[in-house]
Amino acid sequence: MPEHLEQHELPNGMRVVLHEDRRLPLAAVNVWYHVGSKNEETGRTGLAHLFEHMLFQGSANVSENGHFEHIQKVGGVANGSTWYDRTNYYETLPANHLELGLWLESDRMGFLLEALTEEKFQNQLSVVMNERLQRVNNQPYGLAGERLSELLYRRPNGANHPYAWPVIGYMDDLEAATLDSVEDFFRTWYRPNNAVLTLAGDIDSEAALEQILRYFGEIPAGALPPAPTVEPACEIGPRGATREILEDSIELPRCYSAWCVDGYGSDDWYAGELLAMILSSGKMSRLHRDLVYERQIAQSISTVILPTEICATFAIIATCQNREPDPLANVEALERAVLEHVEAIRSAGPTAEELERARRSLLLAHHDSRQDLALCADRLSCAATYFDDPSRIFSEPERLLQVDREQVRDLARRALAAERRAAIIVVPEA
Amino acid sequence: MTANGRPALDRGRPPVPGPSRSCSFPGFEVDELESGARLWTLDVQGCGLVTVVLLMPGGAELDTPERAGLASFTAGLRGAGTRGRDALEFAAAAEDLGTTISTSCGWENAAVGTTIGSGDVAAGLELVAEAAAEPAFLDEEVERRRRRRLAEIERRRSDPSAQARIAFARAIYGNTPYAYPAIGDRRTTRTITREDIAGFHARALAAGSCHLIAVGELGNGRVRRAIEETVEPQLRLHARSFEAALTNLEPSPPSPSARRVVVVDRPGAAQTELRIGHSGVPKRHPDRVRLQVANSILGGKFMSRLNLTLREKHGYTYGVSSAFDFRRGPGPFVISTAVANDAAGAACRKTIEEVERMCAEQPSAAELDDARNYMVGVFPYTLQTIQGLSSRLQTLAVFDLDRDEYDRWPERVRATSGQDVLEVCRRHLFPEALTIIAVGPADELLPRLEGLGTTEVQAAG
Repeated sequence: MPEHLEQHELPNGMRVVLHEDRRLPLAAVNVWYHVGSKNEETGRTGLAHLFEHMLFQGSANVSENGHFEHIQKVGGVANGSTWYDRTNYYETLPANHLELGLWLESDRMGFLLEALTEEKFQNQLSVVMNERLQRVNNQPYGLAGERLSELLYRRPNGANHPYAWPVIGYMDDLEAATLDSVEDFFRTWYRPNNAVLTLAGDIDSEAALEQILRYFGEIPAGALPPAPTVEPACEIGPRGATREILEDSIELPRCYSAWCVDGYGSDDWYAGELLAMILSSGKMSRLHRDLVYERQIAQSISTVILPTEICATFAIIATCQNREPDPLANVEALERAVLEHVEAIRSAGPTAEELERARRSLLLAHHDSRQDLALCADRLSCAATYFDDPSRIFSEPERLLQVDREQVRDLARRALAAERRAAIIVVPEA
Repeated sequence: MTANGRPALDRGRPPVPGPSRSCSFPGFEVDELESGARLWTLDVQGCGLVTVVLLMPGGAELDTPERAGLASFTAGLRGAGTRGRDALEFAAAAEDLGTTISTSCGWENAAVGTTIGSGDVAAGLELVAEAAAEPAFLDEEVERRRRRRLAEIERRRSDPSAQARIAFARAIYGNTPYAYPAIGDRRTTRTITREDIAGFHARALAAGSCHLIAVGELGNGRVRRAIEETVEPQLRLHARSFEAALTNLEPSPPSPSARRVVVVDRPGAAQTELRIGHSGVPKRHPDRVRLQVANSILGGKFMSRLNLTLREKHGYTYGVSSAFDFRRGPGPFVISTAVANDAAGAACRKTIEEVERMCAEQPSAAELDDARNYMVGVFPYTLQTIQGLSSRLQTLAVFDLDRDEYDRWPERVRATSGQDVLEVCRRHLFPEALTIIAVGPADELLPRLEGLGTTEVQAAG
């Protein structure tokens, strides 16, 4: 462990990460519960996220809206977010109010259910439906990402991979959600032995640990369901290319191509992160230089690799610069051009220069991301949750530097096969 | 008391805080370089990075209706090829250092900058200087950029929040520069020439009106010496002040005198984007801090009146916020939200009621206290990163604020009384003159918005 970083486990199984950083009188409190949309079932999607909203609606000793009220009145900020694999809750507080964060987080971890009411539930259901309308239904291209995951992760037998549905859930499932289902979800997953608590900032580790014990120590552990059984990444994805054309209220046609690679933390994942940079980060990247700059058939191109646990979606998203004269012909030409680049890197790999640029850019980004306490605390919780090793956030750059050209080429060759691609084409509504 | 001498844990009330540790804005220096440019430096030991920004004249407030978009068109071409390197060579030089050279354009200024490892800072500064002082504006690059800007203008036609923003500015700012999106429109983007761009840049490159802001690991004058060797020789060739015809930024008339509703029709849209507001006050207005306190209560934080009413009480929206966008001229006061179509009328009425309430009575003592504590408490969060510190210094530079602005700001917040809040709201909020922009399906919206004000329907795009 580097200096100023400690990890502990309480008798009830809750893991605690403490990171002292005294630059400013601030303390970041960050809780990760190892549960997300992947733990939902088909027909009951959106529950993990809906539940996150309910955690801000008060608990035994905290009134409705009391969470934000207590935090904001002392000059703190708070929020939470839901992802496929985890749900996080976090506050940044003036350091002398650290204990307030512990009081609030422990109250909702240990004593939530008695404060839940049908009225609060219906209100947050309405808020979440509006969130879905805003982020998905009323967004240009909003439904494409959702459909892409379905193509990549739905299994022919109907028992879908846990990444097949959107984190925010389907509208029909939200409409059918009940308070009972939310309560079950809490009892099952919101246990100290399924949580990591990180404190980062102007803290005294010894005193903080003692306070944590006082607030969290009495919350009982619970039995957790087993992790979902899944096939390895190399078996995920369509057998034979799968491609769909969607119409949307958009101006510039767009194509999405996605494949599945090993999950965050694996050697393949780091190679994939470098590959994503080499393909489309920066003006000198392959796709940007050729398609945006030279040929000017693309308005923008991005490549992402999701930091998900079981396996990871690797996706290339390219938007046309023109819809005229024929949107479908334009986007299909762009799609072909993207795939030619994918084939090229599968056969020859990146150049030494490309790899070096990608490494330098990622190293600078890593360095940059250490400045912000809340972000740092979140990454520590992440590394403790997935790898039981918070210090990994400091050694991650080393992992990236170890990836060589052959590994990038090998990953591309294995994972980005044409017959394993899921694709969505979005064209303007007729 | 428990056996170990500590009081038993009382979960029934929030814990008592420990003694607070004060936090002030870190010390910085401002010098005038020989070229006339101001150099702002703030040393942050141990971060291993430096962020540098060269602020220069050439903001979008200088745009005219005939050449709307010229400022940002020009800004985007800095670094797309220079006298010494073509666009790809220039990009490669930055990417070899693991970074990019960013070029941007706000309302008041243009900027060229980078964030870079402290060991590479001299090379980064050289690229910043080259982009700012030696852009080539080759025809080929101008045309390439023009095509991308036209495509971006097309893209926005299907983006409901962009549509709302554009319609709002157009509705409240008449014929002044704030009425046009900084990117311009199709007509102006097609007609701006290479000569317009080169001429605009040549005027803007005036060292006496530039600020160079360096924050990070500055290494005992090492970064300053690098600046003297890279940026300063370029700036000395342009050692003069920017002469601009003062643009009238006041909308005339300041706002429509009666409430007005503009429906931007998006048939079949799943939700309605709302923007509700009017023109506000300039950054240097003496009421600025008191207005920030008032806005915090109305819609500036999660526990604001608007969010508690529209989201937590009625569930109309995922979120709503209000803001004064302080610019050199009177930037907008705007309330932003997205609501289900069938809630649009009710959301507008509740919003207007909350604005009226701000002008009718003082906030409660608790509300006022919470808002002031929140504002003062969150201030240090922006000081965590070198980019956050740089942004604070840029604000001082751009608006020529006092150097002790951030030292005095907390006491000015704390000194704001309930009566002050009421008075500034009465002076600067006009519930009867709000402009409401609703981007959504007109057939569903019109009956729901009836009676809110004079109504017109525009086609999207």
